[in-house]
Amino acid sequence: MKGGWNWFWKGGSILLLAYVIVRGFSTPLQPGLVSATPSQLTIAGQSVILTAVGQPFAETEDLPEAFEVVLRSGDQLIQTEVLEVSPHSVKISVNIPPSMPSRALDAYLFTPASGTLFLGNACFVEEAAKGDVPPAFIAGAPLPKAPELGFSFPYQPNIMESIRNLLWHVPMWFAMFFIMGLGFVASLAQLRTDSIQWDMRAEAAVKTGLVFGLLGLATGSLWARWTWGAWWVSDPQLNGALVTVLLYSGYLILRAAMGDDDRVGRLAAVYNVFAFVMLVILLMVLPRYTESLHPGKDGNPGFNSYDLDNSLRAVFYPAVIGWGALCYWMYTLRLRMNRCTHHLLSR
Amino acid sequence: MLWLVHLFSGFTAIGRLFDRERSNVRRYLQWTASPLGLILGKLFHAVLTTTALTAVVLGAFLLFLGWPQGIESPGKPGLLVLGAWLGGLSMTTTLVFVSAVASQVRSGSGALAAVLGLPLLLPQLILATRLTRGALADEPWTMLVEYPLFLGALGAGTATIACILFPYIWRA
Repeated sequence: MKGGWNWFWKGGSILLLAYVIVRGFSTPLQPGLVSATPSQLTIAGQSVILTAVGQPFAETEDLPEAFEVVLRSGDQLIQTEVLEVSPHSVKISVNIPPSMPSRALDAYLFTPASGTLFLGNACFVEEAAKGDVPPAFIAGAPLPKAPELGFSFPYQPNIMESIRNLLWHVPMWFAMFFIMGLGFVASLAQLRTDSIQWDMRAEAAVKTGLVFGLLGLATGSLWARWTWGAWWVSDPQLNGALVTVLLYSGYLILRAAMGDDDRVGRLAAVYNVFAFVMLVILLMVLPRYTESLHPGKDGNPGFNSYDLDNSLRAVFYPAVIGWGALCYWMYTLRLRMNRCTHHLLSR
Repeated sequence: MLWLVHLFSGFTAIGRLFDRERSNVRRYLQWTASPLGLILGKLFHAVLTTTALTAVVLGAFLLFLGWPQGIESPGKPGLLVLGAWLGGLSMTTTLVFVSAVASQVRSGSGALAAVLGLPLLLPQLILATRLTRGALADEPWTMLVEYPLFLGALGAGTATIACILFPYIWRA
């Protein structure tokens, strides 16, 4: 019975992760507008190309009449003429009315298949453009139709395709918290019983957790490069993560420095309890109350209905469970190695 | 502003040296004392040392460098002192714990204390410099009020953990 259960959860974690990898990389991203060229509007009737990323919002044979692009300045809507449509871009012609509440224009693209795409501050009007051009206001925007997008990941400005990293970066840290918590409990038990069994559990947990912590740092660094433009920024959350990893590296250094001293188990347990308390403070308490770029901190929730739609959830939750189970599996292997070493050495 | 950072790092270096040598001497001197009393005594000693050091470092800072150039407003001198004191306090309590752990290792305990202590001091150093910079630049209270709270909480937290865990180290 026990063997069956082991097969179930180990095989299950592999299957879940296979599902996560396939689904995470094959699912298309919903289309979203990224740029308008040129972004400076200078003359009347200027043509602008709006470009999108993600899955195509149009077929090549679609007619331009089916699409509509509206620019918004303050509460004024400016109608444009759609000239050309290609799978990832539209070409429009803009007439700027003489009076503008604001120089920045937001762009709305209404598509028959993908709904409404939005680009904030798409174009800017230069002063010279406010000449005697006939105004072209429209009364209201066409009602957006409910699009049939299929199974696709939500488009987020700036994050774009890198939203797939959510399936790697976040579960890494969840797995690390989980296994470090296990190590914390093991260390508490070690202090209570002074048994080598608990010490081996704690050591295996910390070693496994460190692997996931390093992977979390690496994936987070990649993500930061893409969204914030730097591999590392000095941010409470990031620094806290680095300090946590260094702290647990200190655990290994401490063990190495102790060698085969009899007190290594108890001292390591004391240090591990301390390290876990610091982990909770540094990663879960401090960044929430200081200014931080990281989602989920500084008072702004990271995972709410806005960021995490159902399609993403359908892959994210399996990812969390899969990585967690894999992490536990690695921990059991490490523990078995520790026990074998101990058994061989004590013989 | 950067002067403060430098001063603080020097400050922690002094604090670390002081504590390490003291802890070894005291360990042998107070062989018979109860562990809780011992750690409380060490922490109290750290508090006194930190207070004295804060006074010396801040006094020297203001004496030799004056109020930083280019800042017209008077800033928040009280908060500056409080930040320096609390920052130093949370750092020294952490160092007491780390050096207590490291002193149990037979060889190279000094180097070990430095290696283990460095990452732990990083967040406190960041918080403290952020706070003192804000105090010098006269930022509004609402932006700064959380920093002394955090430093105090970190110091109190590490002191509490040290008190709880120290008997386990000491029992050996």
